[in-house]
Amino acid sequence: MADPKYVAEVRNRFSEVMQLDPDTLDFDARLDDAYGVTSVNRMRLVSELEIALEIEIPEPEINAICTLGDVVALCERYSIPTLQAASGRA
Amino acid sequence: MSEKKKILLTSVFRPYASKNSKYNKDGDEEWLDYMASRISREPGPFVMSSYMSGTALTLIAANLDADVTVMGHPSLDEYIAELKKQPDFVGITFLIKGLGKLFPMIALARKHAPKAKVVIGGFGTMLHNLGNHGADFLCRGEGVSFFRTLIGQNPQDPVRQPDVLGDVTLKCFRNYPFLPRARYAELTHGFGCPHKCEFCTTSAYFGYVHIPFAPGRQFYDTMVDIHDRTGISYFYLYEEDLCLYKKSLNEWGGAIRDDKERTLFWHCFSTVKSLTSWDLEELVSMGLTHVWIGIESVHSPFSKSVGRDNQALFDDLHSLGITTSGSIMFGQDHQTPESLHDELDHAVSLYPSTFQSSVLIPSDGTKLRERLEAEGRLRPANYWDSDLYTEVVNHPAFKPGQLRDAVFWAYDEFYRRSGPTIHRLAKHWMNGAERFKNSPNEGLRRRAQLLAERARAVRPILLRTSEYLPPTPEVHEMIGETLGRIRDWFGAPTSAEEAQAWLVKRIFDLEMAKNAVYPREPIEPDLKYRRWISGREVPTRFVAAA
Repeated sequence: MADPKYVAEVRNRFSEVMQLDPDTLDFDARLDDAYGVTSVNRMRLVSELEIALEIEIPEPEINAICTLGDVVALCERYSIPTLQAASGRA
Repeated sequence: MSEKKKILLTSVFRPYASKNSKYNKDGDEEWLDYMASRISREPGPFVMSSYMSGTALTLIAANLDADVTVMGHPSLDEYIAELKKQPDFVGITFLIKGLGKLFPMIALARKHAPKAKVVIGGFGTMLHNLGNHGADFLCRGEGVSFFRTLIGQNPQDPVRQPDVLGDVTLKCFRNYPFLPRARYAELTHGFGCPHKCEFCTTSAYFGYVHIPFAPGRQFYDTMVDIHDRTGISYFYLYEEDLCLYKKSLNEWGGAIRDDKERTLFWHCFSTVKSLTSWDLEELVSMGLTHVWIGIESVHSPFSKSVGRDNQALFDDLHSLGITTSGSIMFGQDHQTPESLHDELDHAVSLYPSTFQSSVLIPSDGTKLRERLEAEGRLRPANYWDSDLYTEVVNHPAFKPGQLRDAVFWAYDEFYRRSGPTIHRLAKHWMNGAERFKNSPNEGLRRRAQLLAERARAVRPILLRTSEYLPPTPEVHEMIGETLGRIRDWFGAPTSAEEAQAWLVKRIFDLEMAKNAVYPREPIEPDLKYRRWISGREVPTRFVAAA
């Protein structure tokens, strides 16, 4: 089950980047086919998420993104080390 | 009284090497050194080096009635620290290659300076699919008027030229700060170009028109001011075809010619077309010392290339002591793999003092890109492949990879046949020295002596380093002849020059040995940090906000 915090952040950022209604987004749809996402849109989306969530997503992972669900999964995956560091468990 | 607007203008962030950044690819940092990466791209230790200082942001800063901070090459931490000082505007300039860095910088501005309006500018704004970029304003074109309008200042206010200084040396000398460097100042005469060459990014960026910035006598006054304060007498002038603007050039160049106290020199970009309309000796008397001419092709289809025969023009320029940059492009419609040999032969025959080869680049926003897109000839490319040799065009006569290989073949072959840039410069300087040594014109005689002294400064670099030259006998002969001419003028090398020559030899030995064992680490630029308040530069240093 995806963390609602990341789902909300991705929904808001993506709707802003693509100028879409946030309530109409399908997290399983292919970004390029369903929303006409370009490589530039993708870079902006990831950059904004990285700054907002204080994470860093490696370049190869960005290129492999197909859906908004993938974006949420990446945000979750790369936020873990930061949380561990914050709690002294890293 | 209202407070001055606080403005932060910045380039994209360093590092530029790929090693510590996901935003770069290998070798990106080398583009910052335009001599080493472009016009003196040579194997071996003679390769020359010059880092452009980034005139655009300082030009805007010096011309605003505001409190403006300029950051060149900040780290992300330095950029964030500056954002925390809460500027009213954040201006970010970027090239297409820097696109990946733009978005985190906008996002950081939103986070750390939430009230700031974000402006993006520079050639990167030409990107065809930039779309909804997330900034508040997009500045495409001339930035001074744009920012003046943005802050409510009259865009027609008089303009100022900031001090933008740079230097030239050999690349391997940069590790030895005690070695002398030739200093220059950068000045802006105007923007854009009316020749409308279909491939030209600059022409397209400024809407295919010329926008004068500081024409006429004021240009000379600025040179004098900088010269008298800094001792610099060499000026690198920004204008796409400077010699096209005869009225202006006659005003400021005439003042240089008539100046009995100072001998000022300038470097410019120009064209066969506009140079054809000048008496070249008159241009020498006005200070022309170096001109970059886009040759493009032996069969150049561009209107800027109409006029004098290339060979006659380059021969005349060199005979007058004017050094040249000649650039050619591979991948034009009329070219074939076979004709590239003719292109290179032509370039070698012109013997430009510095040389550039590149692939034809259909930059975003140009008519060329529009045409090739309509013809279905563009290959998919990553934004960071925006450079001078990555192929992004399908050409029916070339296999993939062939044009890229040709660019590097041309550099190597040109070097093998023509030798190092530093020698060609010295040779052409000696031409001018000898030509005007006994001129009845006192100003030209002064220039002759200064050109000879420039050539003499190169002598220690060439005296003991022949083992590092290409093995071509003609190159060795040419250098021997130039050294002979310097000897004829100044006599045998002094003991100090002999000592310098041995030092250069040892530096070459050391640097080449070092490169063989330890590949050279990327050279990253330091932060450049300057501040202007209402057009007056104030002393400052970077301090992070408390």
